[in-house]
Amino acid sequence: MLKRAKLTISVVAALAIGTSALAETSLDIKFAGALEFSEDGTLFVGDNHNGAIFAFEIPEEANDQQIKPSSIANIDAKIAELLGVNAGAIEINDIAAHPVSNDIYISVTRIGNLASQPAIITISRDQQLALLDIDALPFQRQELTAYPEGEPTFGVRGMGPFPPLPRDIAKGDIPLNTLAIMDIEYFRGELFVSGVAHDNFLSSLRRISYPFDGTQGIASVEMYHITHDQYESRAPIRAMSVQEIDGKPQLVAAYTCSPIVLVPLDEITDGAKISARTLMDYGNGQPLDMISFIHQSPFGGDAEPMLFVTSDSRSPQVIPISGLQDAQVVTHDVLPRGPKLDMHPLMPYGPVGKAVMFNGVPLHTTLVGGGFFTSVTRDPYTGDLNLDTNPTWFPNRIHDMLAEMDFPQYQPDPSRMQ
Amino acid sequence: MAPGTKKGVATFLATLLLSTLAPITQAQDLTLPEQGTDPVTLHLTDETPHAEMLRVYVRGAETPIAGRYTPDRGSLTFAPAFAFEPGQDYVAQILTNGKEAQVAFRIPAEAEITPAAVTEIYPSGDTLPENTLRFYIHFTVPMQPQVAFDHIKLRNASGAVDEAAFMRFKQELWNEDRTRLTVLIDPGRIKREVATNLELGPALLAGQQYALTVEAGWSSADGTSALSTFRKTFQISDALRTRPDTRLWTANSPCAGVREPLTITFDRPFDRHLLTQALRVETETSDAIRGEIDVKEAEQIWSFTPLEPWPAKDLLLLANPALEDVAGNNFRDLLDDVAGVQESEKVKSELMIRTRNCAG
Repeated sequence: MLKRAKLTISVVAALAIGTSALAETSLDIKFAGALEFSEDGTLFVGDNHNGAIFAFEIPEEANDQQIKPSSIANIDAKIAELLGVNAGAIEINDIAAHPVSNDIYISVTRIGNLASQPAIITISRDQQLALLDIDALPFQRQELTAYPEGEPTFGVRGMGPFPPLPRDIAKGDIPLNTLAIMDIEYFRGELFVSGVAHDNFLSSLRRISYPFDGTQGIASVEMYHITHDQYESRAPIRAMSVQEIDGKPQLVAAYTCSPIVLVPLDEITDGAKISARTLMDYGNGQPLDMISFIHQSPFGGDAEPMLFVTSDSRSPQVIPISGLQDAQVVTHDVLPRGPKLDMHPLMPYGPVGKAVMFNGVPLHTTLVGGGFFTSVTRDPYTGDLNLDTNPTWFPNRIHDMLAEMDFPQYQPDPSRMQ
Repeated sequence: MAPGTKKGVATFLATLLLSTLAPITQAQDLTLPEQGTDPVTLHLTDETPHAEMLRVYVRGAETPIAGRYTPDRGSLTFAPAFAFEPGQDYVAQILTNGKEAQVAFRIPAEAEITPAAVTEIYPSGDTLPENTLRFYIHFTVPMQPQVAFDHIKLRNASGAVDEAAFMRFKQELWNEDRTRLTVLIDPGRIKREVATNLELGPALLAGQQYALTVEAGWSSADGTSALSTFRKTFQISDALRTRPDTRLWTANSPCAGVREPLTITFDRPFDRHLLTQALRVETETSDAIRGEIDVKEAEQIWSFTPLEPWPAKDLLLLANPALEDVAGNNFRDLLDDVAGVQESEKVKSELMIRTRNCAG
């Protein structure tokens, strides 16, 4: 059985690795972005710079080590040290958990003096960092069709009536193809890939079967955006999850500012122009991840399938799947016309679930072992980037809080307890 | 990426700068990288090599750098997964015979770093009008921001600095790659009968000599070098208070069928930057002609070499009415309009150019 190759501080015999007969071409990965695992441990990596998806088979053995809440402080600095550069010279792009071993995989960009290079870092259950030796792994590569040009960049606008600030103007330097792959969902032997495609596609969904056979379907997606009160076909789906809704598998997909829509999988065919069903809009903000999990409180209550949707600018939203069944589809004639910003009385609209507490900003989040979220979290007080693992039923650390129970004099009055 | 296999040469000159580190006990036994892709090799005489004998860190780091450790007879080689970065400080930690030693090293930067310098100041003429508005200062590299006016000075002939000469903006006027700074003489000093003009008088006075200096010590944005003083001296002539007019320009008649430059001689110096974009050449039938622009003679000559030979047609030089002379006057307005006086006289912003038949 193939063991996972890790470049750590283990001794590897010189010249032991010859040219693999399987590897017909050498691995030329330029960017490690979106990550997704199949249920048996194939890792899919979105390479926005090549316009390709790489698949690495990473068989691992089950790990009986119990998952517990944990926190690795300054994960970005530790990764930078491992890659031989100063803290600050790396960017973290995505996170995923191996479904068998529960090890954490983080895709990063190492920013050298002259060139940026991709790397994938692993973090074991005992918190050890290692560099994944992707060169030593068998891989498959799938090129994207209709890969957008690098030249077109984004328009620049200020906030509402105000002139653009330098940071708004910097947006004009972002090439369109960095949005070629936004999120990858693996479902029953197929990949569903959201992103921006060339020309008349723009906001697109691709459907690619695995193992790759070189073919793919690509469909363009239009949806009604409640906050903006317009139909949109350019801005891509940011985060998505496949769920059984109204008796068939459908993509639940989150957009910027921030509608959530449904796309039945059977409509994602090559050349299709899909009209997605808008169900809700929870207000403005940029969705980051959408994670499917079963909520089960240790204090009782029924288990409930939910989505955990994180954002760079608001608390995570938990959305019960039950609310998506038989839900009203919103089009331009359902609500009064006109833009509806976050504070509009009609917002949030639809079966949005509710906002929940989260310590800090979870910039990248993944589900680990069913009962835990691991996230690269910006600490609200120190600004540090930490790798936090917390239970899904209350994904928080309580170290910053001094509540009643933390006082040494705390002694509940038994006569007043239930 | 594949680590390099080229063996480095023992170079302990490298960086023994780190006085806090333990003395080097194994100096003669360590080969340090000369290039980023070289490995670190520990040579051993009386011990069997094993991976725990060597670690390589970014200086100050707690996590060792990822890479491959290869024990061989009498040596242990560490090849980093990613090449060492030139300029980054690294430390090799050696643990042999129960003793620990640390050796600092650094890969020399591959490329010669361009030192900070001023390359040009525009307007480039030796004589400028009293109401000169705008200077462009060009640098070899991006410069440290927000300190421009600690270094840029206008001095009179006796060397006295006019601290109120320039318009100060919170946002410095850099071009996109931050190598060209636009500096404006305070328009309040130029415009007649405006408060600062009345209080302080014009910054530049006809008949006097001045120097625009960029004074030593201004650091490049990356901090690797600093400027030495650059000085541009110039004489001041009377103010320019008429609008540009193509009827005051002269042009040669280029030969049809060849790529001879079209040369326009102006009656005054124009804004150097606008000259590269505000003039275009068309045929009489409005077909655009593409060519290369050259600006000479203190921004008073504009020459245009077509990419294709000139057609046997008459040509039209079209000036964007927003093209400004060095005093900020354009074809529509003077920078300094006198209140109540209308610019009634028409000016022209086109110039007809005849091509010649030079064949035979």
